[in-house]
Amino acid sequence: MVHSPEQDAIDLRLVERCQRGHADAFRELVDRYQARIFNMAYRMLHNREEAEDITQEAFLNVFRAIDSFKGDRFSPWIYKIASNLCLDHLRRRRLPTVSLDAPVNADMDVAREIADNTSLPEEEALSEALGIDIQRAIDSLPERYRVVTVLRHIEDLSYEEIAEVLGIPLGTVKTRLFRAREMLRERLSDSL
Amino acid sequence: MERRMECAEVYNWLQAYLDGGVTAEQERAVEAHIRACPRCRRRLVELARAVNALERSEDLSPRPEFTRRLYELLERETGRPPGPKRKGRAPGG
Repeated sequence: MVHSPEQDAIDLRLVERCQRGHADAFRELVDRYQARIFNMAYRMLHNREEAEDITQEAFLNVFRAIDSFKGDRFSPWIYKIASNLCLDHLRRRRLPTVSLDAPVNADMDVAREIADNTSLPEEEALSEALGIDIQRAIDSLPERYRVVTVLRHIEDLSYEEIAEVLGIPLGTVKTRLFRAREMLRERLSDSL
Repeated sequence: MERRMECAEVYNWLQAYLDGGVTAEQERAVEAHIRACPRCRRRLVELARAVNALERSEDLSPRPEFTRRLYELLERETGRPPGPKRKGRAPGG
């Protein structure tokens, strides 16, 4: 598990300082969480620009709502905000934005995404460094399975934390995670 | 004599076994099953490989200018540091 009670206590102290008007405390929260939130968003969206936009929006939402934060742990709160933004973004991405004359098929999103992600040399290098097989396998998961997998195996959250972040029962977390891993196993069994 | 569990019965435990989320008794049952069942043994190895590939995948960071831009946006948000009495101030000034 990523977040020890000590880390939670540091977060809460920073939140309290934010609530008392200390700007430097919010910067510290940004420093503590930006890489994790960005990494989660990148794995969910497989697009650097979009992942940065979502990360930025997540921090702005946290900043706007921090006065009303009364929880006892900060990290599930920011993961909840960020994962909801990712899921909303993926839903919007699915909406057809192409000409009505163009044929609509299931490959379109994949083709567009591949085009998006190979348009920049940097993105190509990045994909290679990250292991394109594993990212493509993550991309192929249905969104509700993808988010559970990313939170568990990229962000190292426990089943209980994932249930809290996504607002779903513990049993559903396990069912989705187990199904997702079975799908990944099937897709990766030839390449690993 | 202890009954050997069926593959379907052991499957969820097999998955939970990967996360260390089984009891000692379940762990023994899983291990006894995979010793006797090559199909489940192979499945467990493949699942473990998929999980390892995910967990070994490299972490990414946002670009340095991202953080700078975020700080600028946060300052623009209220024109001052975050605090308890922002109500009534128009965003962006």
